[in-house]
Amino acid sequence: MKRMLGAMLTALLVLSAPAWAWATNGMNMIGTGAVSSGMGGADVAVPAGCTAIAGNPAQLATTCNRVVSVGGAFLNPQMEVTLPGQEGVDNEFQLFPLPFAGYAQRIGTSRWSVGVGVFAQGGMGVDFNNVKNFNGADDSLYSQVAFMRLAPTVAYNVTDKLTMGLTAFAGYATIDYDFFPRGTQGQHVTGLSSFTIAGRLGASYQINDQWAVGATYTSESSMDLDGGEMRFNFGPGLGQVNYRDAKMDNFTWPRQAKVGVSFKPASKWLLAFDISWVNWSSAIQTVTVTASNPSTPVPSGYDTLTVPFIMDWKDQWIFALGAQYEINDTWTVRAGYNYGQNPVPDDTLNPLFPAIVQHHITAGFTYTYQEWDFDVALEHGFNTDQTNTGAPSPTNPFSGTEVSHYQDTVHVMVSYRF
Amino acid sequence: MLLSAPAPAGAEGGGLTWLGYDQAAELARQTPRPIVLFFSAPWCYLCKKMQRLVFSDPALAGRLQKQAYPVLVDVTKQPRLMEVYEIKQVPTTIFLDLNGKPVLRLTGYQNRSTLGRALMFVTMGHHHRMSWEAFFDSP
Repeated sequence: MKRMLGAMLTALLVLSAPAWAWATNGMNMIGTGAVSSGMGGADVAVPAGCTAIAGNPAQLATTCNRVVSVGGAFLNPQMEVTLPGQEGVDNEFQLFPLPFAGYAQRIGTSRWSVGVGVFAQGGMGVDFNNVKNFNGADDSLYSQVAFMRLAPTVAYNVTDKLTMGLTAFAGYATIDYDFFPRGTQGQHVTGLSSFTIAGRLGASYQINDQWAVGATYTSESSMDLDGGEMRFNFGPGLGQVNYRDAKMDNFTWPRQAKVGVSFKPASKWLLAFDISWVNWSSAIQTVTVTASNPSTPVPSGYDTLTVPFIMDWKDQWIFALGAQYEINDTWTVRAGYNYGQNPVPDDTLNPLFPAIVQHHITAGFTYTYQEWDFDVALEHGFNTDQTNTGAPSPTNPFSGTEVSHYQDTVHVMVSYRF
Repeated sequence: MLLSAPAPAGAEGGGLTWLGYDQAAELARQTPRPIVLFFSAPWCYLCKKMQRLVFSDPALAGRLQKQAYPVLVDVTKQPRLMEVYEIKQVPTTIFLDLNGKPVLRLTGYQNRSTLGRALMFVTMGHHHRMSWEAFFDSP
């Protein structure tokens, strides 16, 4: 037992290294864990083990004893960007690890359950090489937004039917990007980071043996992204200047509300449906990058640079539908569908941050062997095309740019009950 | 060892007719058979899963019904039994021998195969001759 726990904790630490996501409900994953993802992210009224830490905290109360879960996802995005007057360029091959590790237990046979987990909440990133910059030279577009969360969670069975849960999120976000760094006005920004805090309140109510409902509310995670550096290319004359302090403002992780229902039409079947609202319009408006403290002397007026990215994302509605069938006490299979509205407006589409995929289908299974559960899910995000229809301007440099994006994700998880 | 306690007599458990604790004790006095105590709770997902997938199995349910007295104990309603049998977690399944003495305790989710072997271990008297672990690992 001790050897097994030691191996799991080692795996947890390894998997908890900074990871980058290309998430698809905006910047959020459609679900955390192979069970939730296998049902298309419809999980708010569905019993969960450790993954309730990243879902509905009230579902943590379905943990009967103690459980350790380790796993994650591997995400492979396929993107193409077509700048005006250029051939389309494919994204470089990327495979993003999205870890999850958690522990949960019920306090004896009391009404309290507790748990703690670390997981990738989401993010996004692109890596386009060999695109032409505004000077017509070969250049690159690159971005990585990563957001990890540590989440202590508590759940309480208020009555035999009503359960409440609360999660406190301590988050850590990082952002790097390259915006045509070899061209005039080009930027190479690294090391932006921020600690964040937020919370999630969840509830579930078992109406009867067939029907259950659930809901969660997640607060916004305000971010103070700073501590970065920027290399700005002024072109002929000043050339490239390194700024030792860079920060990003008006980029936050949004608040979210989610309601869901589950229904058991027969003893081995479970159907679930969730609706979510994500307040991107408040979280991502005009994102501003400010660079200061140049490492070399610059003319007056160049001490501080301010670079605005007008993004003005829209609020997002997400609909998730999932089904689960328990073939026997060893095998359980799942399938799901997830639709998340594209939060990126046509007139502000930016290929550095193109979180545009809308339709996903998923399938998965759980294999149970004694006290072990092995969960696997596959997720496919269908191709979405979008074109920037805004008028060209200094704050909309990607007017006329087209972006296409689809992706495949494999989710795996191992859980041990003891 | 057998105590009087509130009993959900005849509660249905997916193919298995559960007895109340008092009822099983009385039946065991009249016609001696092992008693199988299944400790559960309303919030216990694994308990419900066992009822749905394990105790609903016709073969296992039939054997339990014929060879033993199955008792469903809700720990939230029968805390005294939880105390007496020192229940620290649910699901827990305890097998009592013909004298009402606990001879096997299984904690956590159990599948059909394990419960079937456990029933054989107790009803065939193997618990007098070997440990549960040795019996479980034997071919």
